[in-house]
Amino acid sequence: MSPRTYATISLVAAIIALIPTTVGHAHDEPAIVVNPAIAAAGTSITITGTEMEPGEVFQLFLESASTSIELGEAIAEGEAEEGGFVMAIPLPSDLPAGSYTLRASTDEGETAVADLTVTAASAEADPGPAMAQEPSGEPHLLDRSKPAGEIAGAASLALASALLGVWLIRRKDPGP
Amino acid sequence: MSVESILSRRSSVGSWLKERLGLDGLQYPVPAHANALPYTLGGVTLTGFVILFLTGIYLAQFYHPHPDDAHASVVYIITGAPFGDLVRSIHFWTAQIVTVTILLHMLRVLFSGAYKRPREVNWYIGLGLLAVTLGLVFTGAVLKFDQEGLEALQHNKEAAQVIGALGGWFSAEFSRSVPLLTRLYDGHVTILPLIFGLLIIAHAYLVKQHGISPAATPEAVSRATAGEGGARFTTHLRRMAGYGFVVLALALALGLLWPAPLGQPGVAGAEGTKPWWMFIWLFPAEEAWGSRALATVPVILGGLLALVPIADRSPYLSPARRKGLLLAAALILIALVASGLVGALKPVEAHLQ
Repeated sequence: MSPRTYATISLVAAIIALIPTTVGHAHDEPAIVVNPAIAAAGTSITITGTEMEPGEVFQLFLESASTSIELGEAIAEGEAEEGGFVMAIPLPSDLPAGSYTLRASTDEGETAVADLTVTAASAEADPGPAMAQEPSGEPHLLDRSKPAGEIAGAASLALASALLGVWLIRRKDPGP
Repeated sequence: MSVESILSRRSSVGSWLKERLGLDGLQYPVPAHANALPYTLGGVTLTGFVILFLTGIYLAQFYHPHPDDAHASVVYIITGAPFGDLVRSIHFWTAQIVTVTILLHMLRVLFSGAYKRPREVNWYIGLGLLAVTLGLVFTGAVLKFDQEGLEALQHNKEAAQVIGALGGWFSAEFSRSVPLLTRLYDGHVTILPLIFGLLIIAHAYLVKQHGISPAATPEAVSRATAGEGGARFTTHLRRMAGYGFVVLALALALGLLWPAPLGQPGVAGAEGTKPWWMFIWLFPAEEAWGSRALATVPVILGGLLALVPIADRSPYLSPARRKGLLLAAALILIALVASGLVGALKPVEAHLQ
């Protein structure tokens, strides 16, 4: 392999390896990342702040359309413009499942946000089939029954498709 | 209208299409054995993909790719969308059938030595198509966002961490504005189908260039066969279409009898399900070596498959002349099946870190 080929391969590999880093550092504004982005109520999440000035104090809020919960504050550490924080925070065990925005903001008005999806608490995990709720609130299995017309139509289509398929497979053709 | 006028009209329509679309170009000869089922499996897979694209387009009208709404939108597809449960079930079962046919196609190519010179590059394109197919199956399993889908996603994120920066696409840091589920949906409906389309064009082009590999008779050697044979390519296409209709009939029947499953909404961090059959063989390896196995074992297997044309460079196609390679392949296959059976029979255990 020629040195030029080696150089090209090395350049491509370096670009691929740097993609996530490049995306992560493309912001001049403060930024936060929540890990995991999907978490169960009652479990712990880790919030990582970057692009912050050391010493800045960020108030952390968990917000949805109907609620805003203060999670505490985090102080950016580091040098020059490389400040940030890493903070583990337990989610309330009674937090309703749904979509939340995690907001970190300073008194000076600097704000960073990240999405967090909260699922039900781990104890409620159930590998069983999906359920639907009746108006009374009683859960029941999804109704998978189909109208007789739909079943007849689908069965007819399956039969017609099978017959057409077999006819196409078995039909004799002349030579080339 | 008389029979003669109908036939005359059909003939003129056929001539019009032939002239405009150059359909005569498909009349080239192919070997007669190319029309046997084992040599048609690639085409059967392709017709299955046509069904998947069509049903997938329909499902996309009702699916909402956001963690908050994904599961509820699948419930809506089942209970509210016109024919939604049936179309989703056809999509699900066709995906299962296509995975079987693509694996059988690969085994046929392996068994008959159809990866040998000058068809090595097409073997690698085929491996790419297998990887894309498994990627489509995996992302499809995650999209329903039930307990099984969420666990698959979390296992995948752990495997992605093992491969470092190259797994960055699966991290929350990659895009702060679009959830991973939404990006996986993008992968399922745009990125992977695009790669599939490009690869299948290259695959079909090389089949046309080299011709269909000779039958693996005791003295047969690998060579280009373009333009040889006692059958027409249109016959080959017609049989592929025929098998495609059989696949549709099978998917419809299975969908009516056993609708595509959907579990309860996923709970993060919990582990109570097992992966689908095409991934369950990884289960024991994950138990033994942790999440690292989810990334390393498929890479090792892919590497071994990539080595096949390099390791077996003799020109002979007969399995009797390639006993060593086929024995090694059989042993690996048996190990994978055994691993899958162990995974299927063992109780669910927590693996996530």
